Amino acid sequence: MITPRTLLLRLLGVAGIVLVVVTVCFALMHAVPGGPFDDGRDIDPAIKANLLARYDLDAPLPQQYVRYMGNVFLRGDLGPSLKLRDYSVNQVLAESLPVSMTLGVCALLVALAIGLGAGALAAARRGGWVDTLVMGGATLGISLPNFVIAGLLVLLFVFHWRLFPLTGLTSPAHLVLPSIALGLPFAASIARLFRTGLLEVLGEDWIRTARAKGLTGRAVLWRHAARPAMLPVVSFLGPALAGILSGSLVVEQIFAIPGMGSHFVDSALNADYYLASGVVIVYTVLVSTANLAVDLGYALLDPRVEGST
Amino acid sequence: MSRDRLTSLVAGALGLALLLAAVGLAGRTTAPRADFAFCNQSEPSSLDPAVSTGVPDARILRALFEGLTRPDPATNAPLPGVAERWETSADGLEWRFHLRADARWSNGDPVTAHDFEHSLRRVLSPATASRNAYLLWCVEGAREYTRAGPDAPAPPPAIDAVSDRELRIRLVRPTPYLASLLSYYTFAPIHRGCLEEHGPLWTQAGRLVGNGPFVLVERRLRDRIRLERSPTYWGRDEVALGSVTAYAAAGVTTQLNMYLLGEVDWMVKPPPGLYASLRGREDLVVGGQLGTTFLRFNTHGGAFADAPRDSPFRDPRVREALALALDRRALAEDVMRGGQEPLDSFVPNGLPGYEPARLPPPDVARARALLAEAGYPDGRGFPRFSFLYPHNETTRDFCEAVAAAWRRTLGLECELVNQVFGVYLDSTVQGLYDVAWSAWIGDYLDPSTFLELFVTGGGNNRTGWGDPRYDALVEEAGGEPDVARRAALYREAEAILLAAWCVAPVYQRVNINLVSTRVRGFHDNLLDVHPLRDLSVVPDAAPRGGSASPAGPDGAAR
Amino acid sequence: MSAVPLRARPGVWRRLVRRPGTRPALVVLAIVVALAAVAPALPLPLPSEMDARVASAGPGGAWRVADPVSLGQLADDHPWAAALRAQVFGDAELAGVLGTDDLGRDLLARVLWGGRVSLLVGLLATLVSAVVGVGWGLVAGYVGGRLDQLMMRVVDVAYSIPFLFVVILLIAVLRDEELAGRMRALGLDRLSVLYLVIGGISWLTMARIVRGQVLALREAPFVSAARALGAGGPRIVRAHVLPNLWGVVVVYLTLTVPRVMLFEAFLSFLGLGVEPPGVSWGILASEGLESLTVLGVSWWLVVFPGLALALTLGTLNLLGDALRDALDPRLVR
Repeated sequence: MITPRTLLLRLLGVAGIVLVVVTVCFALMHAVPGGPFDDGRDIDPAIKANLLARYDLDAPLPQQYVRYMGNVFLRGDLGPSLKLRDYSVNQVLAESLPVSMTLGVCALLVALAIGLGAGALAAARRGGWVDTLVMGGATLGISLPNFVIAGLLVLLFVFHWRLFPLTGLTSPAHLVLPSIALGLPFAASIARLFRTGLLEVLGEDWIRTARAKGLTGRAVLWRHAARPAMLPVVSFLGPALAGILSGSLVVEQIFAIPGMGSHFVDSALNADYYLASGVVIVYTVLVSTANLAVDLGYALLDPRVEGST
Repeated sequence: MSRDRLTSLVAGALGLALLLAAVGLAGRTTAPRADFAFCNQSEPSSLDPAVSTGVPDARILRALFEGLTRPDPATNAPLPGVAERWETSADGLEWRFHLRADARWSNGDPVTAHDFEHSLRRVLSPATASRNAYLLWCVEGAREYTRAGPDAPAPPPAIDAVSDRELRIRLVRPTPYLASLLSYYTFAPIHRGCLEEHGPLWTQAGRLVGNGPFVLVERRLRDRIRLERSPTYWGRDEVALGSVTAYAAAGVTTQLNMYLLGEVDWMVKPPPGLYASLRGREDLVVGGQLGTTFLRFNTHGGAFADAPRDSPFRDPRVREALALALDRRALAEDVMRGGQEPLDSFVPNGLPGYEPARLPPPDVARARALLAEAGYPDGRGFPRFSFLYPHNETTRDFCEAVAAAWRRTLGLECELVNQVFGVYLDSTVQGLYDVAWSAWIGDYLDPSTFLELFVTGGGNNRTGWGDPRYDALVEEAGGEPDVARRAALYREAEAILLAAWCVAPVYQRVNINLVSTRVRGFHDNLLDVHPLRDLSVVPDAAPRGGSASPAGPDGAAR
Repeated sequence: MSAVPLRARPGVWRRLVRRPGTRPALVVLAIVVALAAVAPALPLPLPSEMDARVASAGPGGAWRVADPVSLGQLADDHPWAAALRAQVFGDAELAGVLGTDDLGRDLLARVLWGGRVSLLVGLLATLVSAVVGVGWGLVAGYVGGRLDQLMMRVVDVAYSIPFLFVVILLIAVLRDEELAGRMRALGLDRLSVLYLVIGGISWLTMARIVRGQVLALREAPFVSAARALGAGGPRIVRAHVLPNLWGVVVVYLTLTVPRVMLFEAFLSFLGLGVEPPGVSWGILASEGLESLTVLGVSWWLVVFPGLALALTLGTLNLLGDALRDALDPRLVR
């Protein structure tokens, strides 16, 4: 099992990663020419100096960096947004993170439901045409970018059959197409992993024993084989979550969903230093804790895994 | 760990996830559709009039606040706002504004001249860091006030409340368009108590106190802003709309779909590629804008900070050749295809009281002759040059067409370089380009907003060009109280500018709006300003523009 | 880690082609690559050629006389292909087979020319990732000890970095005209920056896999024997480790190509990858989505670029799987 010591080390590791990432982003953002206050006309040097002073951007870089790090790690204050000036970065994230999380969770549920179902179906009908069809579809699924899937979904379900609304997020119906577009590629991966895992387990001796005891195929599949076969799927959930979060960047744009994704690109391209760093911090924390949680879950599921990871 | 515990763990995790999803959705239920809904193009950068910039901000700010004057929805001329009348001294240097007695803040407080004194000085204060402060530098002491460092503050500018209901402004030079300038959203008053109570984040829903025709009810970031008619606004009986929703959806296709499906009543700038299928629709409102799209030539040859470099663009004949080779009409009509009109002046058409100087018509033969004269017959020996433009699809199509025209007519090859806007701007300011796509949109209805750009060394000149005669004319015109003589001086300056070929105007920018036919009071105008205060809707008497029944998948391309 | 070294065994090719689906996949991939390769010589309009008269036309296609200016431009950019085209087809061209976009540009031409860019970026980025990944894994696995620990720790950390974001920042930085000028002086245009960046962040898994292989190989009897016979480190790596790595490298490379192509499409979709007037499948897919309006649905602009992506990436993934199975009999049941 995982000891408190290793857990602590891992948590420290997460903090270290955040530190590294924020430092890299800080350096990159300040290397972007143009500065944060360019919008089409040259501004008087005095006005620009006033702006920079107001946001503490005129201090020497190391000083800005130290002050920023102090605010982030000691006070949890991610600073003001330079482009959304009525908001602090914390407020922007507080408003958009739940939206992105909602979408991400729904996409993950779609991925799990479709992926596990299809994987089990393929494994049960191994070698048959169902298997070929499902696996062919899964190969296609991991090959298609989510924006192509989104395009096809919109084409069919918004413009052809008019079943779903196109944009915004005001009702659960608005979540259906984005979740599918976002989750489908991961459903494909999960299906492939689950099928392989099931087949591997089904080939082992104790399963043969269970079968010999007279259990039916379906019972064997679900009662005995599913849990160990879930292992590769569980270890995939970490990367999947990361992928879903970055994928939501595009999907949010297509369906005009006001989540963190829209802030992601905008803040970087518009040199909104504080918001960009804030988004990247939240994202890094999410991904690393998800990886940690996945490792823990893995250890719980598989007694063979020792504390060291 | 037993299997059952594990199962419940997994179930618990899934349940938690669903709960999260439910919380995420909570509070996002649909409110009843507002009387009027529109696409605001993007999220406003701020609802603080002093610090906000940009058109989406302005649409909301004009609803939440009202300045001394407000723009006429049809002509942009200044109408009485909080000031019911104003007068100017004979030398044009002193203005007195008389405030109406019934102007109220949304919390019931009266709006006084002291509010304006505080707010206008605040715009100019270095601590506010307003980007639009320069617009008021015509006020005595204003420029010094903004430019003073924190260590040596300057005395406040000459904006003084004479009484609760009278504001006096002294100017350094006659500014006949001051009343019009003060209708700009930046110069709206803000409630001092609200600012002092809440600090920099005073503009959030629930905190913001305004004096405009509407109040802020709800704001969801990058989603929507909801406004409702203010019960304390002095002209509340003239405001027809009870509630308004402004959507922040950024994608232009998304906006168009929202409009066509009847979710909104107004969208700005439909995609140019679809203009052809929209043309002729009753709900398409197109008109000239106070904006010019033009090319800048780097007459310095290289970075402005360095010594001039050898470059063909230092030769005015080359610049003239490149400009004359462009068929402005074809570029405006066949490439832009959004109703743009070719422009043969730098100051756009339509300014009241100003007739721009004109360019000669395009002439390929003369262009080729000029190029040969400059030493590059048929483009031979002409170096490959950079043609810079900001990243944007429409701009790209335009620049590709321009490059193709030069290749075809003059045999010149250029490299198209595109950059994100901020970077593009930086490159033009520093002179890191040969030819650059450019656009300028005027701030107010006066030729100075265009011609002051090109004074020698001006921050927005960005061509390296300069001419003392031009500088003198612009300076003289700025101080000229006589309106007709002033216009003549500006016209003379414009002629010098055009003859130098440091810029090549191509077309006048257009305002394109899709407005549902049930909307009344929407007028095309040069500044593309459409105050919500003056709009109204009629009940679905004449449904059109897809407001009732959405078109089929194969399109109702009319 | 107890990976069984994947080694080239006789019969790999036989096992590969015997697997159902491999042959059609190979054929499809070959066709796609060939079409993209010879796109300039095909009798099609140029991908950037606009024709307002046929804007937003559905699939169809008709022979017509090519625009001489476009032919001239083609001759400038691809003299060899232009000559071949003139030889075979004269000045005839087939326009509008897959329809046109809202600017009247020919979709088939755009898909094929876009394929050139997408495939090129995919291949080169994969190559970059291979060089970095193999190098990293080789050093870590072979040297071992503290260095191995450190290098693998770096890889672990890197897995938690939101690379998408870093790439967006990096690309924003590299758009600076001054920096871009300096890069151009080094022979790096935007496209090379793109595949260097994509390749530079796609090597992590390769490094892990290679390290595992090397660790296993290092302890393999034949390597111990070579060491006992006095062979030096570089020689052992050259003679014994590298030759036994190629199997796993090839398998993983085949699976990396579709991944980096997806990444390119993603970046181009966001307007951060290939820059117009260049075309790539990501750009086409994004333009297709933009074309979906209530006014008229140009379905072909969504379907055909998507199909091109699906076919290419799908067959690549299929081949990668097949190759892995063929090289590793343990997995073949």
